[in-house]
Amino acid sequence: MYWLCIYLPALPLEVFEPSKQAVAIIENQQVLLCNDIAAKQGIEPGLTASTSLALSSTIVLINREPEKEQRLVKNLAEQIYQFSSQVVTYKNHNQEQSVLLEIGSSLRLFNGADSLLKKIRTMLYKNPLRETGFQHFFGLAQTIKAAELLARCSKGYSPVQEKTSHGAGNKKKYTPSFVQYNHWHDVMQAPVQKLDCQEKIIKQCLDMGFNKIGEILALPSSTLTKRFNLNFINYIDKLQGKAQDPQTWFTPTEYFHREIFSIDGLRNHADLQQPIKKLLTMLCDYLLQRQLKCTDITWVFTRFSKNKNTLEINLSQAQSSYENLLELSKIHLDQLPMDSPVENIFLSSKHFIKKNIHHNDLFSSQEACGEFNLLADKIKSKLGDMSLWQLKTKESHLPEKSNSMEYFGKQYFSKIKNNEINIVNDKDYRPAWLLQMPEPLKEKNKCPLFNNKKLHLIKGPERIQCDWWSNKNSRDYFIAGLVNKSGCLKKKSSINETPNNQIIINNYENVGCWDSFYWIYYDRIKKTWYLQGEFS
Amino acid sequence: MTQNTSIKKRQELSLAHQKQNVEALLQHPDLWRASQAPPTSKQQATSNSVIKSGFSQVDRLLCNNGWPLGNLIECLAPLSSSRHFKYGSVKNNSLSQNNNIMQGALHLFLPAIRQLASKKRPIILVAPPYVPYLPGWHINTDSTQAAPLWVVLPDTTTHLLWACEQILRSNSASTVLIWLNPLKNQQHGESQKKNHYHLRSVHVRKLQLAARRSQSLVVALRDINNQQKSSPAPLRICLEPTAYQQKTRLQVHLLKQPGSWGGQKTTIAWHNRLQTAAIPGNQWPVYNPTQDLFNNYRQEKNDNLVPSTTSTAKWS
Repeated sequence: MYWLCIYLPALPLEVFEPSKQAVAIIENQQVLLCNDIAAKQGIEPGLTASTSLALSSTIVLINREPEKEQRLVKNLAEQIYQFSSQVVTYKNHNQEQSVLLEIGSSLRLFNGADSLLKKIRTMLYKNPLRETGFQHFFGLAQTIKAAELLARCSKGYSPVQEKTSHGAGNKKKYTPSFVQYNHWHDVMQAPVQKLDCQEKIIKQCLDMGFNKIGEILALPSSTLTKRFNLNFINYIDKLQGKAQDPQTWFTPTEYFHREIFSIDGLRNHADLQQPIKKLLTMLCDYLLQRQLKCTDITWVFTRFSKNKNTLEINLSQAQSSYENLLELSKIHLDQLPMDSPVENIFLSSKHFIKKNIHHNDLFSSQEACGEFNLLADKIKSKLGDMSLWQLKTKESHLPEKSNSMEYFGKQYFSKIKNNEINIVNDKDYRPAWLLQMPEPLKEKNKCPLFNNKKLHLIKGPERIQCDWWSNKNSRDYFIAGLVNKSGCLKKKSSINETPNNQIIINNYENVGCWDSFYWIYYDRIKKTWYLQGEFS
Repeated sequence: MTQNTSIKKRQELSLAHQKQNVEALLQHPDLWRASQAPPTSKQQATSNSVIKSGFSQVDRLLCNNGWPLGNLIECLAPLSSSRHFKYGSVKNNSLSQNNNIMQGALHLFLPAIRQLASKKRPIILVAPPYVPYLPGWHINTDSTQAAPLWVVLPDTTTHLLWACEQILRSNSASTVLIWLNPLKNQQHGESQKKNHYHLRSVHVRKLQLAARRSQSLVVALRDINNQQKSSPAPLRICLEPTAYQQKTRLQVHLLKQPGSWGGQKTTIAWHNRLQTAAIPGNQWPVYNPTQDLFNNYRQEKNDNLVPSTTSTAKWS
């Protein structure tokens, strides 16, 4: 077991995006860390908040945010997970964060310790989580505690040092040269102050005259147990590898969750572009690594006033393409009000499906068919949910109930009924347009009027009588026509009302110029004429 | 001497080069010479970018004997009289602000739409006047893939144009029918005059450019009043119902088309089944809804209520 510890001393500051202003992180009203600009103005760790404000009027003081640090360390651990299956995030007594990984089993894969450490180093310097990279120190030892201690002493193993001492001419390629590197000597030489224990015990050690850790370790265990508490004894044992040091291994999260903090604030839509692209690149990398597609993404924009704007983008079809996600996000972002600057951008995605890998035939010509789903998502994003409708047929005898319009939904593509029964016979003559709410028509001499013009019944009646158990409906449907010019028709007789209350519908001999055709019905219960549809 | 010959040779070469250039230009598919004979049916068989209109009279007029795919077809038709109809409180009926049906336009394109719909690509209607009634469209709904008909309802003209462009660019629809009428922007509560968005030829041109990227049948339906205005749409048709041999037929007036002459006119049948349905007046049945209702109520009294779809009206 060889443990590599990556110690991240500047993490509280690195949680935030690099700023052009002087920034200091404070904890308990004391400066914990500050950036270079603040250091030039004389700010240094340990100063009180009021002193630092006195030194620099423009300094931005930010309280330390351990939760954000924890999230960032987890995201880093996720990246480091590619080098080893055993990754641990570690927090010492001073609340300093580090990531440990077991590299003993990864050496053969990565062609030795040197190249592995180089890879990790380049990953930390050119990191998508932070453009300017992370400040870090390596520590390498056979136990977790020793590796962590050496990393903090910044006396850890470094590849450059290794080359100078041993030379590059190692014939055995896979036997790591670092085995010969005596980490134990470094642990012995480390000052007592670097021990990861309470300050009280360190003070006790100093009072006893110990300056180096080696001096404590040289004591017999019986003497130690007399003088120190059990926790410290355990720690010393774990440091030496005498006691087991069980850890909870890091497991990658099941969902994607990244955020970007800006100290200066993002004031307009143009400012937002860059962080959004960065977050989406991270998401696409995440999806690519796991061979997944996401079905939804959520953007949360937090203002300085802690007001939040949430943009949820539900995708009708799972996506993993950066361009498509960016385009959809941009359409949504146009609707985001930018009245106050944005401090924090947060992107999450929780629902994934596995990517299906299609192997297309090399020789068959693929039909250039665009993606309808993406189009539907775009239209929905820009014009609102109410803008895209889908027509469906339902089992009902009433035309307005059988023909329904539904919103474009997420589950649409997964659930499609194959055996939808269309009650309407294909041979029936039906209009192309329907009034979902039938319009009552005026009547004159028992004859329906449309725009105060007489409608001439052409075909019918066709009775639709249903729903006798609830809303009783009984309708006689007719196809009626409207004549363009009255002169076109030679009326032979008109609609008459007979003494028996019968309507006689007459024929027009020279059917002239029909203007339009309508689908009307006579409601036998309400005793009125209704307009139901229009023929094209 | 040698110099002269070399100059001559050079001249000949340049001439040959120019000739080649001109011939290459003449071979360009977009170039059409008026003296050229209309394309034969053999040529038509090779071009995939055409769909039969379903009316032989119309096919005969069109270049390549069918509607061109991936080209904007501008169809001008008279507004139906329903625009005068006051809808009152019921707003659900009319989908968009312009609730007028282009008379006969759908009738002309439905056969082509039906042919294309079988390709499992959806039909998209942009800003249609009413809810389409699927049984009236006679589209194959058995396809296991997507439901065949989609409706996009933009609220403003800018959104309408944006949506059309997106649809055409994505090339995911088999047919795109656009009711290209200015919409009033009622969202922001500004004065209507200011927001009354006029469709300019630039917008139509934009649509045409987007349509060329797609392989779908793209039809823009506009009011017949726009006939006199110039339009960048390559194919323009004007439709009008006319009386013809004691029947109403639909007159198709080809205003212009790519690759051939414009100005031809023809007529197609329009709801012939309805027009021939009329039988002589003395043989018409007498319809008596009241009598029938009375019978029905009698039935109710006897508790013999049976749902039926067939008419029980009394005919005498």
